[in-house]
Amino acid sequence: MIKLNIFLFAILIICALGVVTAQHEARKLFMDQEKEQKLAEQLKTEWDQLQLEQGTLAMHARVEKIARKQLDMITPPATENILIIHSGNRR
Amino acid sequence: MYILSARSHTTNSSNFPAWRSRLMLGLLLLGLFILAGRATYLQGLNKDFLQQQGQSRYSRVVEQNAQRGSIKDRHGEILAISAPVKSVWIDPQQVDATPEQIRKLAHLIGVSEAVIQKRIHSDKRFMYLKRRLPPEVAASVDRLNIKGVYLKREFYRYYPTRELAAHILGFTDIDGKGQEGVELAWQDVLTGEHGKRRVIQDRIGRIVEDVERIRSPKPGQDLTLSIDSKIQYLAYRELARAVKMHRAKAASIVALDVHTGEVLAMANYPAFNPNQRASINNETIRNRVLVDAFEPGSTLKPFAVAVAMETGRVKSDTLMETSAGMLKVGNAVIRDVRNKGNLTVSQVIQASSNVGAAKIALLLPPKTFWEMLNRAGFGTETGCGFPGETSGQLRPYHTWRPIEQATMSYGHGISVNLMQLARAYTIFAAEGELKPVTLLKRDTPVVGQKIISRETALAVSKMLELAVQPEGTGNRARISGYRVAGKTGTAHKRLEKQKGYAKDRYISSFVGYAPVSNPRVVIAVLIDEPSAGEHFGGSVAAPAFSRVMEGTLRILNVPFDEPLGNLVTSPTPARLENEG
Repeated sequence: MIKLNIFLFAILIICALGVVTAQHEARKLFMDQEKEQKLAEQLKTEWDQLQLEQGTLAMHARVEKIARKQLDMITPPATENILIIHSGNRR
Repeated sequence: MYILSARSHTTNSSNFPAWRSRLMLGLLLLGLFILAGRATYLQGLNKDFLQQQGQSRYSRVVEQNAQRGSIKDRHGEILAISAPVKSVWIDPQQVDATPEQIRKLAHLIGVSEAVIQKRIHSDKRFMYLKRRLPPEVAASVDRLNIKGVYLKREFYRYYPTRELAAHILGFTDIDGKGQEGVELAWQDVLTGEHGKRRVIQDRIGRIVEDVERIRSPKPGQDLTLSIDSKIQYLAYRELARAVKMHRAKAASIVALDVHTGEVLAMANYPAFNPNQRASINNETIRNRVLVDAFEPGSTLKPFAVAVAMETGRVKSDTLMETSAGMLKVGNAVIRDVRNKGNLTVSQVIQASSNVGAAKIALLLPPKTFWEMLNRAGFGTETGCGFPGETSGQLRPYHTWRPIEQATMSYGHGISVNLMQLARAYTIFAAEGELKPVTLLKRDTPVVGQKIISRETALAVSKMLELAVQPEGTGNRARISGYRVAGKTGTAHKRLEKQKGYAKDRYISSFVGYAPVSNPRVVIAVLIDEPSAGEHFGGSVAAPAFSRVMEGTLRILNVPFDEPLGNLVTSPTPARLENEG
């Protein structure tokens, strides 16, 4: 009887330690996950900023101004257009 | 106990009465029981409540803002995007700052010290000091490390295209809720779900540890519009130019894809910059294309002709007598700008004769004419989902007097919005089908409701093409290399607050489509109160139409359907004195 009790007590201790370890592990993993999520958020922020920047720099008004004023570009007249029609893709 | 009683025994033996020791024992036991009872009460019966109270002292649930979805054009270009910013808030009960710290804080966030002091002495638990600070400034605030001052992550909405698509997009309020336009109409799609986290805080409220994520923030969905930002830019640019050139009060334009019913561009001038709230006022905020109704004028003539042809009352070569240049209906008189003689039905459209159109309309029973206008979408909203759209006004036919039926044929006594007008022209462009319009990308052709037969549609289309020939009122809408069809409109503006029309204030419009051999785009242009001398649709709205249409066809890579030399200037000067 005493032997059984000691045995069960040992199991109890092992289980208790297991619970503690598992909890600790869970906390650690949660922190890791948080870290990664923060990184993901940061990257997303950066991506948004870049998209915004691109949107601002590639504004049609700006592109047109640079093309016309700085690069002396013009819209070619219709007579200088050659339209190649892909027969399968005609819309 | 034993010792106590033992002692009491000994004291008893040294001349104290026995009741004193018993009383003492009783009192001590009573105290013990009270303590035990209290312990049981706290630990057993009231445990949950107390535990919760304890936890709330250090553990807290904080909200995490979800990012609002961005809005893109049909090619994925960004039209609206939410960027993260920080807001400074305080818990006035916790704030403990030196005057020096407050001075620095005031300087950083640009709020006066007096205001900050006032908020600190409030009895609330949450107050904003300053919202939407750029990340760099927020970091400096964080470094001040003042007790009770916190930062909250929020989002700020940016519109990189500024006023270009302002009316379509609308804007959001400071809390990120849609207020106008697409932002309002698709609020549910764009908004995400706020997340919740449980955290452990230390004594002064700093977050020490994240305990669990109750709910992850769910970002809103992105929205892809049918708008092509290149065409949108072109449309806005030409509109601004036309307004300046003709010293107009305002102008609107809308471009529809004939096959899919998608709105490729929709612009108004004046517009506002959604990034600067100060530029928003009553004049600039309205998306006139949809929320303003106007009397369309001659652009409505093709519908009277179409229904008269559909019901077999006229053919395109039926002669209409307009020789007097005026027509008496009841005790009112309908006039043409000038006497145009006998005209065929085709020429009525081409020369835009009011008398001719009125005569055609009077051949019809009111119900038939009403049904045509109703089925063409006038008097009902276009169903594009834009908030605040007007349905225009199409009065029920049993209230019509003959003069009203006559004037309606040339677009007076009825009001429409520009989108309705553009959509109604898809009937002629798409062989009789009224295409359902959408602001969201569809990309696949849709089948519209059949309104008139293919034959009638093609016949009217031919007349509309004649209207932009050198002899037509809309000849300045022509484009090199493409066959164009369309109709001019010039309407007197209604007087405000009283009956009748203003003599010298006009709405000039042009609605048309190209290329005629296989129509791809419908464009409707409206110029409100041009005041630089010219006011006819053919000289004010048609040139703007032509420029936008030409650019649009180029952007869409639409093949030419005419030799390029088709635009030799006509030998006779354009006759623009025609009405409409």
